[in-house]
This record gives sequence, C-alpha cells and structure tokens, in this order.
Amino acid sequence: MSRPSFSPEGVTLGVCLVALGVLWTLSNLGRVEMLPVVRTWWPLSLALWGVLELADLWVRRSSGRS
Amino acid sequence: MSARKIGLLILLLGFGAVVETAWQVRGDLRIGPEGCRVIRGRFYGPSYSFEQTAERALPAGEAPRLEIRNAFGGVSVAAGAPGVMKVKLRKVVFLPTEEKAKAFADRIELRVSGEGSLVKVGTNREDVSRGEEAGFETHLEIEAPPETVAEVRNEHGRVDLSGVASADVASSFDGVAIEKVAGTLKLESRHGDARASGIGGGLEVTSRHGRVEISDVAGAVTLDVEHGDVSARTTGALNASVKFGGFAAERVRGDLAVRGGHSEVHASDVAGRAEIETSFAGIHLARVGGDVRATAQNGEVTAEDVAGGLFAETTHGDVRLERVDGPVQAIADHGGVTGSGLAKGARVRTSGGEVSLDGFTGPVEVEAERASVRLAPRAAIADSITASATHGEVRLDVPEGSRLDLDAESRRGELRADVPGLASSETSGEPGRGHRMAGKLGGGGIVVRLRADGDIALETKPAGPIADRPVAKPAPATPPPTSEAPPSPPKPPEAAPER
Repeated sequence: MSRPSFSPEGVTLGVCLVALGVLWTLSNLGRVEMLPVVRTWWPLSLALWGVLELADLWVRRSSGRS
Repeated sequence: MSARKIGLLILLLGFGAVVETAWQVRGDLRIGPEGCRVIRGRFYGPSYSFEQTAERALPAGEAPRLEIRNAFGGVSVAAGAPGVMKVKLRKVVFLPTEEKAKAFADRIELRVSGEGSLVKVGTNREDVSRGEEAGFETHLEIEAPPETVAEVRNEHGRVDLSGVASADVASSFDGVAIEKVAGTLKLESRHGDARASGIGGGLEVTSRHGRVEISDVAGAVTLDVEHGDVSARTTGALNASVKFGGFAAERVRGDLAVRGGHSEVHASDVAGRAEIETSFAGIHLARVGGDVRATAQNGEVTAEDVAGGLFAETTHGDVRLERVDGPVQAIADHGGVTGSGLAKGARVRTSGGEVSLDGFTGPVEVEAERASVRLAPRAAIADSITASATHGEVRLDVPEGSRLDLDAESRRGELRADVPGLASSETSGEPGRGHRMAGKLGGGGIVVRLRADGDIALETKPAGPIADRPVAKPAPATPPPTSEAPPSPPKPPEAAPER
C-alpha cells in the first residue's frame, strides 16, 4: 500500500494563505499594520518551505531504508 | 524540480518583490492624469517655473518670528536686511505645455500672514493639490533679519537655513543644512541627512533614517538618532542616543554620554567624562580628560590617554588600554584585557581571555578564568599584586629594586622564580602537585600573591618608566566662529558647560 503523499509546497501554500488571511483580517480590524509585518516576515515562508522539503526528504529516506 | 515547485517559488518571490516595492514607495507613489507623477517624493516630466514675491515691514524693537510651512519644495532662509522680511515663491509645475502650466501656477498662491513681529509664510498648496490635476513644487526663499526666531516645517524638500537668532526645524524626506545660528537650534529630521554647524547656543537633534553631521556648537548637544551615522566635531557637552548607526565625536568641550545600540562608537579629545554604552559593536576612545565608563555588549573597548579613572566592561570582546592615569577596573566576559601605562593600578576580571598588563604602578588585582595572566610592571613593584588564573599560567616580571613578600602556588604546574636575591622562607609540594613558595625580596614589604592551575614564573627585569610617554591631553576645542554670526543675538538659554 502506498504511503499517503505529503506535499511540502501544498503545506507551505496553505500556511501562507492562512497567515495572510489572519493578518489581513487583523489589519482590517486595526490591530496590526499589514505592510511592515508582511515585509518583515514574508521570507519565513521560504524558510518554512525549505524545512518541510528537508523533512519530506528525511522521511522518504527513512521509509526507503526500512 | 516539478512545475508545481517552480510555480510556488515564483509565487513566493513575486509576492516578496511586490511587498518590498510597496515598502520602498509607500506614501510616495501617485498616478495622476499625466502618468506617474511622484516617486520617492519627487516629480518627473516637463516642468515650468513661475515666481511670486512678497515683502513685509517689521516693527522695530521686537525680535521677528518667522513660521514657515511647506511641502514638496525647498525652503531657504538666509540673513537679510533688518526690519524687513522678503519672501519669494518659486512655483514649478509639471505639465506638458507652458500655457497649461501657467494656468495651473496662477492658482498657486504665496500666503504671508501674521501680525506684528510674527510672519507666517506658506502657500495654498493643500487647496490646489486636492484636485490632483498636476504635480507641482513650491520653493520658498526668504531673507529674514538676523534677529529672527525661525520655525520651519517642511516635507519632501530640502531646508537650508542660516544667519538667524534661533531655529526650530522639522523636515522629512530630504536633507537639512543649517549654519550660523546665534542661539539654540532644535532640529527634527526624518528620511534625510541633517547637517548643522556654527551654532552659538545649544543643539537638539532628532533624526531617523539619515546621517547627522554637526560641527562647531558652543552649547550642549543632545542627539537622538536611529538608522543613521553620527559625526560630531567641536561641540559642548554631548549627550547622544544612537541606534543602528555609527557614532564619531571629536573635540567635546564637556562630558560625553552615549547610549548606543548596534553602534560603533569612536570618540577623541573629550575634555570631560566619557560614559559610553553600546551593543554589537565596539567603543574606541582617545584622549579623555576625565573618567571613562565604557560598556560594550558583544563588542570590544579600546581606550588610550585617559586622564581619569576607567571602568570597562565587555562581553565577547577584548578590553585594550594604553596610558590611563586613574584607577582601572576592567571586566571581560569571553574576552581578554590588555593594558599598558596604567598609573594607578587595575582590577581585572576575565573569562576566556588572556590578561596582559605591561607597565603599571598601583595595586593590581587580576582574576582570569580559563586564561593566563602576564604582568610586567616595568617600574619597581611598590603596591600589592594579586593574580589568579584558573586553567592558565601566571607570569610576573620583577623589576630591579622591588621589595616584596611573595606567596605563590601552582596547583597543577611548576613554579619557577628566576629572581636573584629572593629569599625563600617556605617551599612545599612539587611540580604538578601543589607547588608552593613563600619568600622575601629586598627585605619584603609589598604583598605579591600568585595562584595558578598552570605554571607560575617570576623573572627579574630592569626597571624603567611604565610608559613610553605621558598621557596626552585632549586637543583644545576652539569655540565656533562668532564673527559671522548675526549681531546682537539673544542670550542662548543653554550655556556651554565648560570644564
């Protein structure tokens, strides 16, 4: 039976969309200023994706070995 | 790499590029009917200039007050004839034809209001720009009597001001240059470089995102600067808060106080005390007339030619001292301490860094963790010396003529004393196992106590001066030029605190 597929880019996109939506809502509510926050933190999306890719690679290698 | 991944990468980088671009042009980009009109506070395209002038007679016997409000254009204030205020407005309209530009410029008015000695200068640009039909700049050039007290508020335009009695200037998105102010100057600058020179009274500067350069200030200086380098030359007492930018001061007539963050601090020729703290950068001092207190987190401290005492504390950085006339206290966490020419002794504590004192008099107390200690007094030992090194060695040069009571113990190393005349009164242990020695040299009198996990070595050296030259005095700071200052200036509220 094949292993259920895990897509790092799918998770990344999902997390980014959730974060963007929450941030946009908070901005509309006047809780945060959107541009400075997005400008500061957007590179984390790349870092998150990279971590997920590494985790995926590691999981695949581990399962291949066993 | 799959197409999906490439697509996501392009999406994320594109999103980042859009965000960065939006950040760069925020508040400065507007699209008008003639296309892109403003980028980063400047208009582009064909333009035509038109002028309008006004004059206002001033009552005698009262210092004139000038208030200027402007945006998207420069403000220039220069000393003029007494008793009259001359104003010129240069209107620059960005439209394709002169006819259209002239018609638009006719709607822009110079407004000079106020009563008595108060003169308010501005334009109706807010009313005109509401329609957004064209881009235009309003440049104000004013000739004011030398006794004028000026207040300037400007955005997106350079401010040049000189030859007034005192000034309060706030400017953003362009540079400011102020010179020859007889009294006090208050300056607030954002997103632009600020320069002030020839200030007869006190100076207060607040700056964000721009370089600050000040020189020849007679009174006390207060600086609050973030995201920009600071250069100060020939000032009165200087009190500065600096973040994310370097700080350099030369010739300070009074005390110097700097609270820095991510700021490399350089200061020389300070007549009074110097109290400096910073982080993630070093502190470098030269020729200080008073005491020094320097604290650097993740940075080094260097100081030379200090006439008073010195306290230096660092983390992850060394302390290097040359010629200090007062008592020294140095603490280096993950750093070493090097000192020479210390006239009144030193208390030194380090972890992870060597201690080397070359040329000193006065009592010395050294404690080094995971490091060695080297002490070379150069002059005959006349005050007590205590040194301990855990996981390190201790070496002491004994100048000729020293009189001392020695108490030394090497816990896991060897104790060697190549000192002729040293009368050993007690020796115990053996090399590698608590090797201890007590004795007297020259009849004794001064306690020398040495402890080390490693070796301890004493060696005789010829006596001499503790430094090659005496402590250099701070260079005198000449007062700012007053010959070109306006006549009969009002008395500055903040006098220069001379020491």
